Amino acid sequence: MLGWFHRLGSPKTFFGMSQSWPKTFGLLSLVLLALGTVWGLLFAPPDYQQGHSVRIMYVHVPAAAVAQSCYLIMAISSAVFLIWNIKLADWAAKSMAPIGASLAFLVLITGAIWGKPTWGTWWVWDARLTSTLVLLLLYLGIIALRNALEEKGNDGRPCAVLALVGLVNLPIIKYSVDWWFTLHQPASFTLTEKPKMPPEMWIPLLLMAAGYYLFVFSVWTSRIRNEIISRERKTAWAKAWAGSQ
Amino acid sequence: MFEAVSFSLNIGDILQVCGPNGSGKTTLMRTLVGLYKNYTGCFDWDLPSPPLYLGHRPGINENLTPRENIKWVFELNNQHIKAADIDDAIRQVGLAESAHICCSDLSFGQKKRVALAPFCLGKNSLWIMDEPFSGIDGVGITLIEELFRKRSLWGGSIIFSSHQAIPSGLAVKKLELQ
Amino acid sequence: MTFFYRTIAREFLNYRRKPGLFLNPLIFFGLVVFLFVVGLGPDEAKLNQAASIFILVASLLSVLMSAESAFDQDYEEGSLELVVVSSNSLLIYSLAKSLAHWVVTFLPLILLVPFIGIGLFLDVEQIWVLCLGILLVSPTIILLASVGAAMTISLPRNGVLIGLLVLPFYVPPLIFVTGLFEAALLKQNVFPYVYWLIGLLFLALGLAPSATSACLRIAAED
Repeated sequence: MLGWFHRLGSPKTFFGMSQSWPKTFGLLSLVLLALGTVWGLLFAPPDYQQGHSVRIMYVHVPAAAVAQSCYLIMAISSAVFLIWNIKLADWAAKSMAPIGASLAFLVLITGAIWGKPTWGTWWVWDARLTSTLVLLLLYLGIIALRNALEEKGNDGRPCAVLALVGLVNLPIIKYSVDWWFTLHQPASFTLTEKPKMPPEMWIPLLLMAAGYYLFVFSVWTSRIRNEIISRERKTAWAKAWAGSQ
Repeated sequence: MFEAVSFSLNIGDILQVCGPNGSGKTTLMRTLVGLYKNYTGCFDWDLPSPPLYLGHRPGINENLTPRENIKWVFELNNQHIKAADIDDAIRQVGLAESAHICCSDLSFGQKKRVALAPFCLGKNSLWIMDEPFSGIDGVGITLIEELFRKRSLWGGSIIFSSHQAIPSGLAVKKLELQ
Repeated sequence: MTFFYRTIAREFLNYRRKPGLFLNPLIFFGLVVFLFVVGLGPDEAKLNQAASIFILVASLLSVLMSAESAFDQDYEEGSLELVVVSSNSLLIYSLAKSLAHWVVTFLPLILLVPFIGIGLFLDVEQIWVLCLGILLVSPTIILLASVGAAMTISLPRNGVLIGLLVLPFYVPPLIFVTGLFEAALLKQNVFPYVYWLIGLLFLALGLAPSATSACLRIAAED
């Protein structure tokens, strides 16, 4: 197990292995996303309360789930880096941060767009929107710290510690924001209660979610590959690879 | 950075690590005291107490007096040193008049001397000094040489880095880094 | 244990020689509260309601400022390296530093709270609750700030960065202290908030020092 782990942790092995990943998974995700989008926007039934504006759910909800998963993946990579000192895991965490940040941003934007027709305002201090905002701020903090560290030529170990501290804190923040929300606002309408969603709605949702995950995976591996090749550009194998391209 | 360095040291030996800038003198020093972990290899020694270390940044708190700073260095190693001994060490490094003023009022060279003072006292059997001669005047250099001489007679070992040859007739082993 | 006391003694000596290290953040704290009040206007009911937020946010900001100087000095001088070389526990070191930091920042601040409370038209009971809330939350604030300061210790001009990293983590403490204050204002049950604050404190006490010491080691072994 550990031997396999270390082999995967070698940048060269990973680079060779992942050669086709960005393209394959990228294409697959495009197919799923296209399918989900067309189904969700054109064929899925409108909501009996919200009408057609519910269709933004197909963009918003999977993005929210994936933005959180990205954080988890980043934190796991960070832990692997700290425990086994595998540099590739550091680069993987680094590559994940901007992806997670953009997804969190997308969640906020689509949430606002969804809020306008349903609540009548662009922004509500809803518990979920607020904790997503905090998630975005965490991502931004991690990216800022990474930039500052790299300017000084340090590796990402402080960043990894921060990611782990954030992992412990995220549930607490989420809980406290829920608390705060119930304290300040009468629970009027929740977006998340979708008790009886018909299959025509959840199947495209599932397709979109799968498409998002594959998309993230494709972008992530391609970013990791970029990171590897730019760090290892002076090694013999990287030069050989560049020559063969 | 350097590769394949090997050396051995006997009790009372003085080892000078030399080499041009960027050859890794500081990295070697930091590796020896455990401040640099990204290396392969091993060193094994049998020390009764942790080595006394002088780094690039001397570890002098600006808001404390030389006395308080020196006391702290020994407290870190859990050694109790009498106040009179500390004053004696301060006298040896030529700072008797400044013993009670804050280090922020001292010059760079004087702070370096404060950092050297613990070496007049300690019972640590190994010294590791990174560039002890930099930023110090002629009198200071003789002072360090005197310290070295006493220490090797006493049976302590010293590893220090410097790119210049030290003038006096000390028996010094050399380790050249490329 | 002696190392713990010695570190605290050294910290206090350091603060005594350079009182600006803790006095300036304290004055900064007062100024931030003042600006909040000026911005909100002299309306008694409004001030009453917002008192806990003003005091807490101002204290967060001032603690972040002082945390930066508390840790940076050690790194720049090289004292941190000496601690690592001497194989003393960095965990104890960071705990001692945080305790000293707490004493010089929050002790005077808690003493100030009654006076600020009078200025914000709080009654005695509210002032007590506010003091209790700050007492309970302050170690958490200090410990989180120490993690941020340790993370950025090797970076020049890191003050803004510390804020960027640590402030999101202050959401739960802020919510529970203001919740506690609000519950007291409405004569509701305050104990859930107290328990939560104590829970946060223990969590911070359990995790933050190890994160801080890990970051200090990373910086020293750079």
